[in-house]
Amino acid sequence: MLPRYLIYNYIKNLTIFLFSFLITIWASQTIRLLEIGVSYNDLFEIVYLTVLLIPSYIINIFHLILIFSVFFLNYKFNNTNELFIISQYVKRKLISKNFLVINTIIFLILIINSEYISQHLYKDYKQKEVELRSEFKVQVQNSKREFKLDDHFVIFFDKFEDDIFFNPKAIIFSDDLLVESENAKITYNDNKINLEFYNGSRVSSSKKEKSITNFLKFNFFIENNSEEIVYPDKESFSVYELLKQDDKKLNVAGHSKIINYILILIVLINIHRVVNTVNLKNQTNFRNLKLLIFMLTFIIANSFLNKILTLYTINNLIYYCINIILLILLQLGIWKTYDYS
Amino acid sequence: MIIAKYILKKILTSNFIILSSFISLFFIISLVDNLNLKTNFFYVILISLLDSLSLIIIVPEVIFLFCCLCFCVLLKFSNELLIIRHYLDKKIILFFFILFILFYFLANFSKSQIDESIDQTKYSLLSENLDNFVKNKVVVTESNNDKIIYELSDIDIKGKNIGSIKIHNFKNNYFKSTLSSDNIEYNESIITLYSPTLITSKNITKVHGKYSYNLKFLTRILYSNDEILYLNNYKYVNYSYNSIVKILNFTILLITLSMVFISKKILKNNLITFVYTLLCLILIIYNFMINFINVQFFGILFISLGIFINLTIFLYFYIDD
Repeated sequence: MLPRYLIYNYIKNLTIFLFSFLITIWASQTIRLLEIGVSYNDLFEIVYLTVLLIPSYIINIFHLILIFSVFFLNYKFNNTNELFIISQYVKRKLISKNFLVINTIIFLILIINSEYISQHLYKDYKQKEVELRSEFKVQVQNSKREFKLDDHFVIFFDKFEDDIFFNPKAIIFSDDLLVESENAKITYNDNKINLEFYNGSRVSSSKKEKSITNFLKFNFFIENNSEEIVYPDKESFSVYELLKQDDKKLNVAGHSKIINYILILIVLINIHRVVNTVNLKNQTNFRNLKLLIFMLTFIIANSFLNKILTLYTINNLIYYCINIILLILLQLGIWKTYDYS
Repeated sequence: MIIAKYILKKILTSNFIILSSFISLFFIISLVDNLNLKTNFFYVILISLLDSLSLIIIVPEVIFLFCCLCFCVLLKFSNELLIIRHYLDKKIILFFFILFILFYFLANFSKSQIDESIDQTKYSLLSENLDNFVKNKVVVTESNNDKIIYELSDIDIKGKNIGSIKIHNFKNNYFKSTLSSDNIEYNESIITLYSPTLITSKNITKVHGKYSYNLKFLTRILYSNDEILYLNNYKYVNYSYNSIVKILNFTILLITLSMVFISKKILKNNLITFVYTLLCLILIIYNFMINFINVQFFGILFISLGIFINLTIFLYFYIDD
């Protein structure tokens, strides 16, 4: 009963921490996209797109989420003296066994997420992104009184109503033109966006031509030539696929993913030690902080190795040797920090 | 006094825990993304740290929610919250929170300035790799009935060079003139155009000599991440109707969040804590939405409804405790 209670709390904390951090990451990514004003600024579309990205973040931060959740669990158990009671009635071996079973399940779920679900969703994200780029979905915000379409043009206007810009001043980058008129109508069909300016003047100040012309009607259109090709990132592949890639960056991402799995495995193996640490002489916080520093140091060192592996400064063998030495040192550090004796 | 000190210490601790955990998480995410930068690894670490800070600044309300939750949980385990609530009035505890709310409020209020400074620092660290810079910019200045649009093209910050410039002048919403040149020099706030071409509605002339334009905040403009900039926004903080509403909503939201996590109801059981946390999250998402959605019709009604809902929730938690 007691080990089950311990496991239940562990899972509860892990879930809460995982979702809290993911929600924050999701919110910050969504707001960043909204603030920089992506061209397809449909709020719900962006929310949906960023949700598709979330599973691919898990693999990179899971080790930290794990240790944060067990730090918290340990703090809670120590404060309520539950840990003391549990240690009186349950053998450490039994707790370790229970943790082993649940951690194996967690690790399997993580692998399924990182090797299948996240890639599947990431591919959807890339596909959707390309689709959105390729279709002209123009939404003009009246409050901003400015509308920019990629590198094609920018229009400053007083009012926008029923697809008509009032008092527009447009800079057309591709033709080096400034167009100002009484009003302008925007129309779009499948592959074309059309701007019709009425009663105005067009100023050309390019190197080839310097001119000013008054017009009753001036027409400008752009065709959508964007390619509908999905260029994959490291998130689009499984470890096996990454290792087969010729691109060095993708290849290194595969090796880095393997090391990440090993790191998560080490953290999972040692979780029960952290949870089980009784707070004698108020030493736990210091121990936990030490573990956090060890982890961060390893992550930075691993990133450095990834960088120099990409630059061909070291080969794969040296990369793995150094990483394994670092992982052994990390394990020794954890043993020393959470020494039961 | 002892209890006051204790509460302050606990709020500070929860802030420290949450901020450091979020910074470390965001740092790792940024580090993975920044590894491809063609610069020294030490700079990659610094840039990742700056990136993690800028990510945190984007969502101060979410961070504050977790700080309040952390404060509540830290004190709840040992029943200290119950004791504190017994001896101290809610208003006094809220007062301690106000000090921290002020910090988050300032962070949110100066979000764009902080972001800009972070960008500048990042780019000065990335002096060897300036590919990410926006190379073409449009700067708009407005005063009385005059409007000037500057078109800066092919900006090369490393070589301190602007490829070409076009300055479009408008008076009373009508085109007045365009001055363009490919031979430009600039320093901190002055752009000098050599032998520019002047286009007016009547004629086009090549001017021999030089024209100097005083463009304040030029360095900030060049280092900015935005492609379209409004110089008037730099000159003074624009206390528009919208920003006052945003500030008001943000302040009410933070006070409500802190009030939720010191309420007596939350002490009853964990389910209430869970439900209240979810409610707070929904409230934050709702506030994000009212900040970003621009309605074409009934705009004032939409904004007033937003403030009204926030105030109602605030009053509910205040009275219902």
